[in-house]
Amino acid sequence: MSYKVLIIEDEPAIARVLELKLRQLGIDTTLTNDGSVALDIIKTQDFDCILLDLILPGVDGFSILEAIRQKSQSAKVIIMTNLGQPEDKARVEKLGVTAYYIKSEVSISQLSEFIKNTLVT
Amino acid sequence: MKNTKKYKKTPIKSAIFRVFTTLILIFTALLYLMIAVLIYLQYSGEISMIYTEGATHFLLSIVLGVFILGWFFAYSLYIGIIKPVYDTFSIIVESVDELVNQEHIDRDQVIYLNEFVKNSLEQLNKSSLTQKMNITLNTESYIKKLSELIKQNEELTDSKQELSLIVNQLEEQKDLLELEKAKTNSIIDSLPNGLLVVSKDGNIFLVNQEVEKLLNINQNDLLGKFIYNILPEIQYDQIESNDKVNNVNSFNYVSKDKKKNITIETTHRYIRLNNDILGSVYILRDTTKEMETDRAQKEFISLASHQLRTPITSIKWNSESILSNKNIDLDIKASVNDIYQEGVRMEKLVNSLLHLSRIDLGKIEFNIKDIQLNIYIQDLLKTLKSEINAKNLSIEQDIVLSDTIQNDPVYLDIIITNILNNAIRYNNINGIIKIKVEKITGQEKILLAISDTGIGIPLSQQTQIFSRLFRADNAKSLQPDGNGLGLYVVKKLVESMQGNIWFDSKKNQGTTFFIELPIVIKL
Repeated sequence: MSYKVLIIEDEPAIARVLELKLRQLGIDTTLTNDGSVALDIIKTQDFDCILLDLILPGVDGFSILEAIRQKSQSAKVIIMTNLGQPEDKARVEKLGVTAYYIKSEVSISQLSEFIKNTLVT
Repeated sequence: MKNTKKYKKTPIKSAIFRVFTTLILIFTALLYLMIAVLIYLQYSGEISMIYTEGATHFLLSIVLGVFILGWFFAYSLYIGIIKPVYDTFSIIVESVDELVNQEHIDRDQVIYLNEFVKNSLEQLNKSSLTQKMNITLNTESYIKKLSELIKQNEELTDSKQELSLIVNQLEEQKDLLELEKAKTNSIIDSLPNGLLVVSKDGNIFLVNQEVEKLLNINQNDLLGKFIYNILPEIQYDQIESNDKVNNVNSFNYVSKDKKKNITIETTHRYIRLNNDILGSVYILRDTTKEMETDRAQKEFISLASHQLRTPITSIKWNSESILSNKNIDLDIKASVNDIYQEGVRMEKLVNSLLHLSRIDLGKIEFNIKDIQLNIYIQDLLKTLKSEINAKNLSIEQDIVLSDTIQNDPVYLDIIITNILNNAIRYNNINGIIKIKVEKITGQEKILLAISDTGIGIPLSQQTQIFSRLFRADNAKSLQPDGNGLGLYVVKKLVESMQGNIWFDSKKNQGTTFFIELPIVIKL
């Protein structure tokens, strides 16, 4: 059985290549580019890992993370954002995240490698 | 004073003249008696029977002699006893009068003396001649006593003068002090920031005009009030916190009449005298505008970073994805690789600009963690492996530091990566990079030295090397894609960590950068 990963990312060019990369690794992906839709998906489905962008249309990533934490304290959430401000990082780390990546600073191979490792542990 | 007047009217004169008049009357009476007896004897003829004319003359001479002797006796009595007694008592009365009129004298003693003199006079008026003479003798000792009293009074007068001199001096000093106080008050009131001082138990005892303005509360409604009743948000604790560091606190303040709604920043320090805490001093500042500007700038940086990084991510990830495809045409691969590298370059530029804006805003917030510098350097070298290998560089390490250091991993990484990247980029093929880390003896600091054997920095351009956007000519021709921000950012970061950075370089021989950092950065 393959791992289920939810990608919450509104930038199509980024979301598409990430989805492609994860599928190549045999990971089952669900993609949404809207915060409100993401909230609905989280309520009804369980994932092995959630990749979460912070700036999103509808509901932002911070609120989604809060919703995830209300449902489960142990769910694996990897933040992938281009917000690099220390206060943004501190805000999500308070809620508990597996990792915080600034997208422009990480290569897709590094990120996918980390996701793979997160899933198996 | 009433008593003094009464004693002044003591009937000294009448007493003396009474004695004197009585004596004269006695002798006059005696004289007339003698003459009457003589006349009677003369006319009765008895005298001629008894005495001759010569005898009559003899008798008259005797009467005259008695009369003269009587007068002489009375006169002697007046000169020898009455006049001195009169003079003495006059002096006593005058002295007593003077004494009683003066201040700073033991009045009881004088009044007692006066009473005594008065009684003595009365006694003198009534007394016999012997008693009067005794009184005269005793008077001398009273005069002596009185002169002592007068002397004491003079001394007291001197002391009084000295005292009034001291009082004058004190008043002058008081005036000076009041002037100084007025000066200090005007200085305090001229302060552009609010100054508020509380006692140890938290009661406000000094505020300047700026505080009244900031809080929109009159000074009289502030003084003596408990600080928490006025500013509940202020940091106030009686526990001795680390007061070497400024206790800065920021909060929103709304005045009772709602006319003031501002952000106040307070800086708090304890007032110490020897080892006692006397109270606390607060500097209050209206930071409303700064906070708004700060918020706007932060929002701009946040937006800029997000907006710039998103297309870079897209370029990098997609080109990387294409490059990972093994079946791709080599020409296309080369082009896509260029796109990828440009993406990396843009990403670095954006990061540098973001760091720069944070530095320029003074908004570097260190997130301090324990760092094993040795492990960190080994990890860094691993990530730079491909660049090092591309130039076939050899790395020599001399890391003598067992302890962990406390620093911000993100910013420390920017510093060391920048310097190490330069050592790689501007090194020659087959060059050497030396990394040396040691603890500076006697100081809680480390010294990091990174040397290369590369192109070096031309002497004429060495002073500009840390300038913003500056690049040395030889560096520009070797690596045209640099942005000239790296060393500027590094220097600013090192300085904000209370560290130092300098270098030693010779053109075409290489450069060594020295970075001195505290083992523990203080916030």
